[in-house]
Amino acid sequence: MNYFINFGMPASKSGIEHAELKRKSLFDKHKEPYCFLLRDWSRDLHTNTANAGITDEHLINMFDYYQNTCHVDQVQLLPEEVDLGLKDLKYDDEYKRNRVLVSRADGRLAARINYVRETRQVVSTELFDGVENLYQVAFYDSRGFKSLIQWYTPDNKIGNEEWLTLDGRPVVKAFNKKGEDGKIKQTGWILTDRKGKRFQFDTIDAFFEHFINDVNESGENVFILDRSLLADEALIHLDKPAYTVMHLHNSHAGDAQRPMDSVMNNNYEYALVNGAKYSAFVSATKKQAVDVTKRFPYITKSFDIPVGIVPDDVLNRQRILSKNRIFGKVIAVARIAPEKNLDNLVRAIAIVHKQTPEVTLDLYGYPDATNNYAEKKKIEKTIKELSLEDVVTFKGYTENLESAYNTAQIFGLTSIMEGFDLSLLEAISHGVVGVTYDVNYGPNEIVEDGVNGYVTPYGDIKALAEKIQSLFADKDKMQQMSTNAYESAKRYSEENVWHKWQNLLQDAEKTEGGVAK
Amino acid sequence: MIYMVGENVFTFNSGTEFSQMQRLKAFKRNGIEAKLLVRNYNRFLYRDASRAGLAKDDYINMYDYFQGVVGLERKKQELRLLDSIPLTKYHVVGIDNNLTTIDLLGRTIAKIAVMPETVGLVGSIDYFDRFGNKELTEFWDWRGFKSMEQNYNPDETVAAQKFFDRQEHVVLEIVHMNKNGKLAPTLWKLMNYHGHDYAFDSEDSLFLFFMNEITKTTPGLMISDRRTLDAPVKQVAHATGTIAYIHEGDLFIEGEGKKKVPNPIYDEALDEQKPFTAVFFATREQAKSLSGKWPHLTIKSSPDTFAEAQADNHSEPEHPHLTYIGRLFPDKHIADLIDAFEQVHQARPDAELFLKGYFSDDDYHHEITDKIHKKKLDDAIHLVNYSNDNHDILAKTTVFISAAKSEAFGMNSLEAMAAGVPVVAYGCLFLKNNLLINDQNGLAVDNMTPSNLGKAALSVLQDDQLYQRLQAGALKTATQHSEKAFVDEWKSGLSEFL
Repeated sequence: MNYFINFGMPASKSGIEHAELKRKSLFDKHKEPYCFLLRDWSRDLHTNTANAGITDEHLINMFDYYQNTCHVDQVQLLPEEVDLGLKDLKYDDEYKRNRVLVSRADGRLAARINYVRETRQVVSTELFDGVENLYQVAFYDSRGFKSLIQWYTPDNKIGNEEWLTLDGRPVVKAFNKKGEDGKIKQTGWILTDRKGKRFQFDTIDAFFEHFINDVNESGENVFILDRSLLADEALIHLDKPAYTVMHLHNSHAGDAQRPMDSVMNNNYEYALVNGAKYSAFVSATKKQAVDVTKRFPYITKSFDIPVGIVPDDVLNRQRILSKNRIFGKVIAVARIAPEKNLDNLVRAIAIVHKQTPEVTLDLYGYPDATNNYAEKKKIEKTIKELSLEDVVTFKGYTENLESAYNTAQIFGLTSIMEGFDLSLLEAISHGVVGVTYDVNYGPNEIVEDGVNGYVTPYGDIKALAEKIQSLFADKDKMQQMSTNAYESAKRYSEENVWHKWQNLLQDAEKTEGGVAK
Repeated sequence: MIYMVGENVFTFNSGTEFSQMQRLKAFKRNGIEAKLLVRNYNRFLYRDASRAGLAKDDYINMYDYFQGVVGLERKKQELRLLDSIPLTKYHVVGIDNNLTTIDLLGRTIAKIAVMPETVGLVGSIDYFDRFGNKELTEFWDWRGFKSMEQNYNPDETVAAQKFFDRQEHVVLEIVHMNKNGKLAPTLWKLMNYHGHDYAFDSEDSLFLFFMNEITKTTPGLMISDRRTLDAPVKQVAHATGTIAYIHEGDLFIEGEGKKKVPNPIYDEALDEQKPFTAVFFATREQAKSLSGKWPHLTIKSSPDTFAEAQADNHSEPEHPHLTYIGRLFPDKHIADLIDAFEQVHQARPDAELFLKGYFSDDDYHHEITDKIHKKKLDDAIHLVNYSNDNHDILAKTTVFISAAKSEAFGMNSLEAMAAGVPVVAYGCLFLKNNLLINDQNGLAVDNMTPSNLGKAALSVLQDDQLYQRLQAGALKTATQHSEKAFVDEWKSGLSEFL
């Protein structure tokens, strides 16, 4: 089996999840088996995976695995249906707060039952004892069963946590206790596995390692690690042989512009220095695959497999001429985060605006919450400073960018570094012309300078502005580059990318230990 | 069906439990259907009940009932054969006879306590996190299955207890939270009991639920022997009648202005608003003396116990043996016994005193041993551990001696008499003139001082004729308190309620 390792599949996805989903579609199309191995518990997991097109057959969550809840049909559970074990209760629906207050006949609070507004499906129950202490919060899986219990301490903090089987057996326990600094934190786990054996773990990482070994009980699997820190230790400690793949989703170097000698990207350092213990590394670009091999010669195999795939139906779609797009429309699709450096793009647009007053910049992406949304605040300040309030718009996170790609003329990119940039690929596959800083890895490979867009020196705002302006000033050039963008997307066709995956899978087959399908 | 309701069958039982168990056995032998219903969680119940001579279908424990293990036989569970320990991953290290550890790379992650009194059977397991905090304790029942687990708050106080059925489903949870500023159990919750959860604010409301479940299918007469259980017993829905059996001789304490008032522990038993069907005392005298006080209550009497028929195996010791058997508690005035014995010992230096029973607490234990030591009587006074069987000690006893100043009956004295041992005791209500008849089966010392008690004991030891007369009287009394007489009296006492 080919396993894709990640922590979850949240509704708001980053590039890594998008890359996994594209891989999933490719594997689906070629009937190649695969399964997502997801570490974290979330009550919405199965809703989110279903929305992402992942069926339960292709999914094992660690908690589900031991709770025996991998495959459970969804049932409706309304607040009034929760058995509180008490009689003569009074229910008071606080609709505005998505909850029902339940009290005993004498007025003592018995429970608060929280629900999803639209469906009234129960989310959690907060339970109170006879003297109205909150003693337990139970979380219900979106499929309608009690899954996680958090027990409260007498001083109203989360004490012990338990995950249950459908018939109520607590099989996973986590303990919140005093650590070395006297502060309360998660200090241990106890698992009762499917065979009734009891294991203790210090951390969720150790628990996850155990889980991966359980999944690999018969050996001969392929593990593709998409979130390095979840299992970079586990994958080099497997009990049974397996083909282990460290998938780089970003630059391996802290400074992507100095790939050979800058400090290693912290997320990959452990995997890179232990590189010889993995079966293979995957980079999203040729350039990075070469650099990785050069800098870490002990790495066994280094594959380049684009994380972006342009589906055949997109490649074959009716092309939109640049004159039929909105003149002056520039878009950027990126988290509003410091490493995306969007402030530079805004400043370049300010320069363009002087000559092309029609120019607009739409920013698609969710704001990074670090330091209380510092990056978004910074960009807002720049917008104000440059009086671009009518030009630059924050569009937020959206799953469907189709209409943005079909109406924009230019895709701007000023990131410090990238692992690939799926959005840029989607943009060129829709005929949007890319104008990007020369950054590793992805932008300077997806955009071919002077062919389907421009690659300008990193940090040179003026040069970036000049290239954008030159396209607005020359409609023929804009059309030519747009046509080339459509054409250049073929490099990332399903067929081409599948061919690259086949190379890796064939290598896995050949590798000692073999790979069972 | 007659249900006798108690807290427990303890490792160390008091007269109340003895009386209850004697009654149960006598009823069963005489064709009266009876069962003991006990409330407390006790993972040694099977052991203790067998030692007390009970068969496994003689009793139903509340926790056993909800855990689905009533009547379950014992199966020894070796700790080294526990299926739950992954031996491929951990080292199991025997430390000593009582402790084994589970180690990972040299670190102890769990400690297994050996089941008391066994070799290598699992008793409990404590699990520890990497900072040495105790996370969880799993407790095994004497019968060899995991019965309960409790986890802890960060300050190591108990957080929650969970009770399991044989498939390790949680069937009952007890939550410990603050109540009036103190950490205590605040919630009892039955999980998925016949498809539903049931939450209770006290153990007694759970106990009432339990008794209702039991009596729903087989209704019966409930006898409450413990005052702590009177409130729930009175409320049992399917009871054919409810009886409070009072085992104490003195119900009164000093109230305001030195006036004697009933001890509040009897409030439920003597309540006239919601009365028991009847309140029973051990002697007619006590019943008679109280019936006037509570005219609205039905007050009756039936004996506390009976004398087990014994083969005559009394063997006179070479030296006088004085014996006391019973709780070694302050209210039994053990210090008086020592003072009285000192006097005997001065006249008869070859005399010995045996004190058999369990102490109320360590402090009292020390107080008594100090006193013995100070009087230099260490060689003459012997402390004997509690056990259920007193035949051997009584067979070698010359005189049974007691300094209790209050008795409802005096079951330990009867046991002595049945072994042909005269009794020298304080002439307290309701021992004197009921069980103990002065100059017939022993001596009742009216002026209750150690010195008088010592003198009386000495007089029995020094007068062979008197001794033989009292011995014959004791045996005669025992035959009057035979099992048959006991059952007959109970039958007549209960006739109107059955």
